[in-house]
Amino acid sequence: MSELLLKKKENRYGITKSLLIVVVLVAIIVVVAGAVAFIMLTPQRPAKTEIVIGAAISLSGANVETASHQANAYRLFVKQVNEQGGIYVAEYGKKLPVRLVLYDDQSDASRSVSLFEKLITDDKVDFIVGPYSSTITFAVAPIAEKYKMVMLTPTAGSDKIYQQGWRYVFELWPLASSNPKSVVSFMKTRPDIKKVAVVNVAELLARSTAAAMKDALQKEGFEIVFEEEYPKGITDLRPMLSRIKTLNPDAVIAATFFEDNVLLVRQLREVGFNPKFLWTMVGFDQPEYIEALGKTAEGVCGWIVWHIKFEDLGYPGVREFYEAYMKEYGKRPFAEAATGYTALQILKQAIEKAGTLDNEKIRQVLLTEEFMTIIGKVKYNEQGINIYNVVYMGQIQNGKLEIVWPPELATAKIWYPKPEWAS
Amino acid sequence: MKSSIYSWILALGCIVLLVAIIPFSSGYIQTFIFNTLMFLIFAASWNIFSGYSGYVSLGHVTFFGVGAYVAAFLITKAGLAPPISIIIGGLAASALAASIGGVVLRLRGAYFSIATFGLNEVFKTIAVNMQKAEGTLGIVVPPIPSRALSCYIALIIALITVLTTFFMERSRIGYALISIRADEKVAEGLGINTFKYKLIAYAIGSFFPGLLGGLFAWHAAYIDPHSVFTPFYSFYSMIFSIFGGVGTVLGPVIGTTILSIFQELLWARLSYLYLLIYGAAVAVIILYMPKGLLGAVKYVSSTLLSKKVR
Amino acid sequence: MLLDIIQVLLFGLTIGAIYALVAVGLNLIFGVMNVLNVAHGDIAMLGAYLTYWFLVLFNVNPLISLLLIIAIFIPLGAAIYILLIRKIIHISSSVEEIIFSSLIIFFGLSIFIESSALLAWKADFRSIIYFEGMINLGGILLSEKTFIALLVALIGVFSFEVFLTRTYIGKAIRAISQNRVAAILMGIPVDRINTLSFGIGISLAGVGGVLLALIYPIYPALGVTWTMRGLTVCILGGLGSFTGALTGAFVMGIVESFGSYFIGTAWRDVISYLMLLLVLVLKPSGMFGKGV
Repeated sequence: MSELLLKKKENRYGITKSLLIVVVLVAIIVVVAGAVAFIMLTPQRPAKTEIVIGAAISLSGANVETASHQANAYRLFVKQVNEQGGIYVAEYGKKLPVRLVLYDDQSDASRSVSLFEKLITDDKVDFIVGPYSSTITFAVAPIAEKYKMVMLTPTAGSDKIYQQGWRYVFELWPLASSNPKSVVSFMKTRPDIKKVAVVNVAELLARSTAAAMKDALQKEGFEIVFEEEYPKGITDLRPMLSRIKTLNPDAVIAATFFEDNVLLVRQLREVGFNPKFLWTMVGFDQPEYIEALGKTAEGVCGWIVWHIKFEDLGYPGVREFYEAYMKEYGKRPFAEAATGYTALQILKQAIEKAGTLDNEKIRQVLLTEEFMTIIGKVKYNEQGINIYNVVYMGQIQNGKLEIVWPPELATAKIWYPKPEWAS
Repeated sequence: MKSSIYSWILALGCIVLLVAIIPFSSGYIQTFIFNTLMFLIFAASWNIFSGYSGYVSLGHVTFFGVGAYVAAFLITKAGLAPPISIIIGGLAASALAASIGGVVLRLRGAYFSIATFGLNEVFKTIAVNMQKAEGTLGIVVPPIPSRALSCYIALIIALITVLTTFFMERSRIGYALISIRADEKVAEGLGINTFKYKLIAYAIGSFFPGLLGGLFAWHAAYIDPHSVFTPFYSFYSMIFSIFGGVGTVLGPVIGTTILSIFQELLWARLSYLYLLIYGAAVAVIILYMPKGLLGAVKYVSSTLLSKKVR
Repeated sequence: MLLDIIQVLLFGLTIGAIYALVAVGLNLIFGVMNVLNVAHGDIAMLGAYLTYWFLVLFNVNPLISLLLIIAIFIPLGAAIYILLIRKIIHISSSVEEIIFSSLIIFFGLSIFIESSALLAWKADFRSIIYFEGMINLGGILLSEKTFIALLVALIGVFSFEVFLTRTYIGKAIRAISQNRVAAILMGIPVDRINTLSFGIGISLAGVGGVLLALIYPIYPALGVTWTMRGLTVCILGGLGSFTGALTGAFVMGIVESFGSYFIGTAWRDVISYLMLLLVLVLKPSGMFGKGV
């Protein structure tokens, strides 16, 4: 059979015999040696001279735009904590430095799952902390459960995650179901908003949020004239936006992720439709958003989960975090960075309170204690939900991110209706 | 061919070695073995149809995804035991291949390739939209009790795939495929029912990724449309197979093993840089070894080492 | 309502125009050399990034970048051909071997280009802010950039058509596509034409990239997506047929646009594949393809 595949021709590969033999032999030696050496190298067992915290996070792929900031926050916290000698653990009677192990899950849920398992069983980390996005966290949670490791989830807001009866997952990002509160309470104050269009990208959090929005809006008597889901990675939303334009809703609620957020806003302008109120989701509070859209971003509203203004609320360390992040990374931090930082803040406080690195005891502490962090008060109920969860609403004005709702916390008055698209 | 006896002995040795070290390896090594076996099954099963017939399928991962979803549904909604669900997943994938094949196998060359790719996108979209109503994305599956078990099952599937290739190569199907690859019109002219054999091979080749999909769902404990319908598995099936030597039994095995090790040695440390080297290396190597590694090895053994005068 | 339909049609045409640029280049390469360049989309991606960097670093108008890119990519394409493809064509003992080997080589190239881009520029999405105005054509709003993209693409494709039919090289290219052996017998320097065709094909992809940068946010992974789109268009229109690539491109763009408008965006990507499958069932060699 193989005769058919190999027809002998004189020197058909253009290389001499000896060269070929050498190449093949070298290749075999390299591969075998490499494989053997690699298998021999077992990762060092961390002696109890440090606390190892591990996570897989999207350092590449579709999520990197936002996830990299969560990773930055992890790194920043660990750097700061180590500058102070580490975290004090009563059980060892001293401060232990922290080592952070981050793997790139390439924005792929299954890869994240295997990486977390590797962190737990192979690298033998003391603690794990959440990956980026509800989708990936949903996949990874069973691993935390299986190995009984506490996992604080900075960017997993989908309610579904906390309805599974899992015991080791602790939420930090406001639940999708809490998103409507600020938005709808604002919309109720404007009687000229009657018709609403709700769209979302095919991501877990976006789906949950859109569903929650629709529910809340309908309960308050708004008319949902259009609803649609679009696939991740879509490049042309104009036909959908044209349809929305025809229906002429007063408000457009878009549960987006970063790329489609930018695309949607730009193309909404291209299609020539300017709703009185436009609310978007992921990406809205990032500095890259304003960079990408320029003047087109003016007047766009969106969620605010964390803002520098929180220092006025008396939350500890807000300004320090802001400045440290700016100094370290050259860009202002936003929500996903803040919750990432908070996760480690809480973990540190829990370790200090429990006096041990034992996950079960830490879990008990998480369930009973109240924590004070840069995103405010955090207290968990039995399901791992933070009962002090809250989302505000912001708007981009003159190239800056302002809080516009609720009025008590606002840094600026909301521009309503949304000004015409700037060119 | 005398050399083939040595290669079979070597293969047997490797299998025994693998079976022995799996339970004692660290979790990391186990994951590595599992991933390699996974790619092996992908490459070898792709080779069964595409390698021998010359019809380059770019949608091989479709059957993986279908197998994964069918198995996941059976486990979670119907409460069936995972092993049974996996087998049904594989059968479902095969059935799908048999029915789609009716349409798609009438196409030739690049037309066939793009059509298979398109099919994958269709199924991926179906998977995404399937759960819109319940508001979730993806299925959580109760995990497999031990990674060693995943490795063993994968090993079994891989063995069956390679053995199937071996027997198929020597059967009427194999002869038909090879003649199709050489020149389909002539083959038809000789009275071979090309369509029938293409269909059978396509269905057989799709069974294994289907099984693998179900196993993957059990192993990873979670599947979602983007991870099980990702075209990268299709592309890598193809690359590993061709690299090792397409249209041979052991070609995909060798290609996958070497490239997998190569990948593993580099990715953790170098990330994108490794991909760069990888892409360049693959392209350049094929430039000098168009028949893949196995072809080069045969060239070496038959022309350089033999004393025959041509 | 009618105005909206026209607007949707225009969107379809714009997308179709970019598809056309990518597909025509791909089709050219296949027609002349019988290899499928699966790195084509990545070349377009490079063109897009070059446009971005020329603008951001040196403040170069994208239209000028376009000319620069054509100038850079023709020799680039020729280099790729000479270094990677020529050898395979000469060495291979059978057509399938060329197919398999070239697929791998181009995949390797694609991986190489994409990871270089990722290393150099990270995966962040980048957008160009240029030609931001809006044009009002009697009630139909069109953004300047879309209009310019459409114009450029049409000019590009039209010039290429003229090139194919009126120049010696163009005719040589068509001759080789039709019957390689006869072309050789006629004394056409196949190797040189191959090199040039590859260069032209690549530069067309580069131009497509410029337009992509104008309209969409760009990122390294878009190469693969656009390669598949380009291939789908070529298959739809019939591989090897210039008219096919052109028609296929616009048909796909318009069907996608109207499809998402009427049926819903969730199925957008799938609509083109379903349409493709339908066409292939009826005509296995694509709309204008010759029998394989």
